[in-house]
Amino acid sequence: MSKTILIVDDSTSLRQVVSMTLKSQGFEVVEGCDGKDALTKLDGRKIHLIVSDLNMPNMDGLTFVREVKKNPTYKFVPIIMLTTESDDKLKAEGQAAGLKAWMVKPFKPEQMLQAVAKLVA
Amino acid sequence: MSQKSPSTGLSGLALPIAGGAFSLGLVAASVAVPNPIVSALFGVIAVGIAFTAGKLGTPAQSDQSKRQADYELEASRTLQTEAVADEAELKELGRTWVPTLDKQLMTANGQMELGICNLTDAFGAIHSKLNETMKVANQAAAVLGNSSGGDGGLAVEVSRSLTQMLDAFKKSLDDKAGIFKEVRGFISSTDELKKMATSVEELAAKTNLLALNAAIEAARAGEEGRGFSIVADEVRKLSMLSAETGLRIRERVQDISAAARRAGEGATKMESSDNQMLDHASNTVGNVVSQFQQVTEPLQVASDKIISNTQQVSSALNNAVVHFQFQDRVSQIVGHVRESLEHLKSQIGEGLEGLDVDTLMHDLEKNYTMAEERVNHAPRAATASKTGASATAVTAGASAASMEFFDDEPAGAQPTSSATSSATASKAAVKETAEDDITFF
Repeated sequence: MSKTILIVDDSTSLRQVVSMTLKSQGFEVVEGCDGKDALTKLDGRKIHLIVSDLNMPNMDGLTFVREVKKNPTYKFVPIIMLTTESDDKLKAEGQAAGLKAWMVKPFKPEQMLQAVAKLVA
Repeated sequence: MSQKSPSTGLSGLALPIAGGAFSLGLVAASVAVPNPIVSALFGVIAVGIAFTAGKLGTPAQSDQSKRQADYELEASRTLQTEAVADEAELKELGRTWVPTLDKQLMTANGQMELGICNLTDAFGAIHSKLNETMKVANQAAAVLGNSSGGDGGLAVEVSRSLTQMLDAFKKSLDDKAGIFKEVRGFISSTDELKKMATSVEELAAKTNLLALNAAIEAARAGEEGRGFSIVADEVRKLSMLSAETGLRIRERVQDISAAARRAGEGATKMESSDNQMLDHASNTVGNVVSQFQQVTEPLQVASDKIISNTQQVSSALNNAVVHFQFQDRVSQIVGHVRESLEHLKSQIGEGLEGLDVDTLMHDLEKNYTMAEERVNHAPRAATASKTGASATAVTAGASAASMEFFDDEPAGAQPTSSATSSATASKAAVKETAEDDITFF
């Protein structure tokens, strides 16, 4: 059975790009348009990895990550932050919140797949 | 889309924004420079105007101090008039020009997002079609086998089946040859039977002669030999019967022998035609297999080519789509510019007093997420040319160190983690390897 990845980003085009990259490798993809929307996708279905943006309306990425870590079903799901932000202070905050990796946009597909393979395995 | 497209698109869009910002800067500078400078500037203009007016006015006036007082009064009035006009213009700027710019930026951003989404959709559709093609080509390749040979190919399978069929045919011919050998053995047996029949006839003739002699001897003995003559007669009758039987056997054997010979000749003929047929079948199978290979080999090459080309196109397409990420970045930059414009609007809505460039710049900077934005951010004393040059430099640097993986250990506990929190200079030094482009926690 293929692994399912949740993509959280307020940019439709960015979600599409990440989705295409992952689907081409046989991953199932679920999308959320912000942190709040993404939390509704954590409805009991099996999620193997989350790729989330940082700056989003309604609920930002770091708040979303903290919410996921509070959820007993999903707290061990590895999360990659995919953001234009490269500030070291925010990276440290992300790490403290329980992120597994920090990827700066624009991402390279092979890097994304390499990271996903490393974290999903 | 080529490798350069996103940056071309970016700079294409950035140019009007920069142009807008620049003209905005000019307007802002003309109305919002700190008061002492404004006063001095307006003072000079006012003095100039007053001086000209004085020259054209009453040259006969001789009192220097009165003239000076008039100049100052005139300058002060001009300054006040201009300040009121500027204040109104500034408010108008906030009411009309700033919202117009904002709407234009919003429209541009919206159009770009829509366009990129449509393009990504279209590319996605092409991508899924390519995947279908790939699946079909792979199925074809599985049937045809690959062009580099190996087991499982259709041509190999066909050749194997036909060879098996030929082998079965050969075996049946071998079985037939065994029967023909038996038939030939039968012919030689009938020759022997013929000799035996002849022997029976010879024996009968000799027995007949013997019986005849015995009858003659019995007649000579007269009455005494009468009984013996009856026996001799019976023996002669038996010998004649034997002769007839011998003849009949010889005739039958001759019939059988002729039939056997004909069968033998037929078998020989059949054997040679069977051998011809086998040769023909072998040749035909060989031809069919080679013709089949001639057909399947180009098909194999074609299917391999389809697979490899589809893979290349698919990965090129993926790479192309990835470049669409520029839209997200541009959209964020435009969003930050729009927020700042909104901020400027609310500041100048209150007139000149409300304008606070430091707060404006500070709030703008607070929103930044990208290294490029931070480098573009000009401290108030910085020159435009310097900012432009360093922005280019960072765009190149930022795209390299784009990903970091982190260990589970807290920050600073491991070398990799401490590298994360260390200065950007160290990251720039290791940006070449993909491993350093990502931070693992």
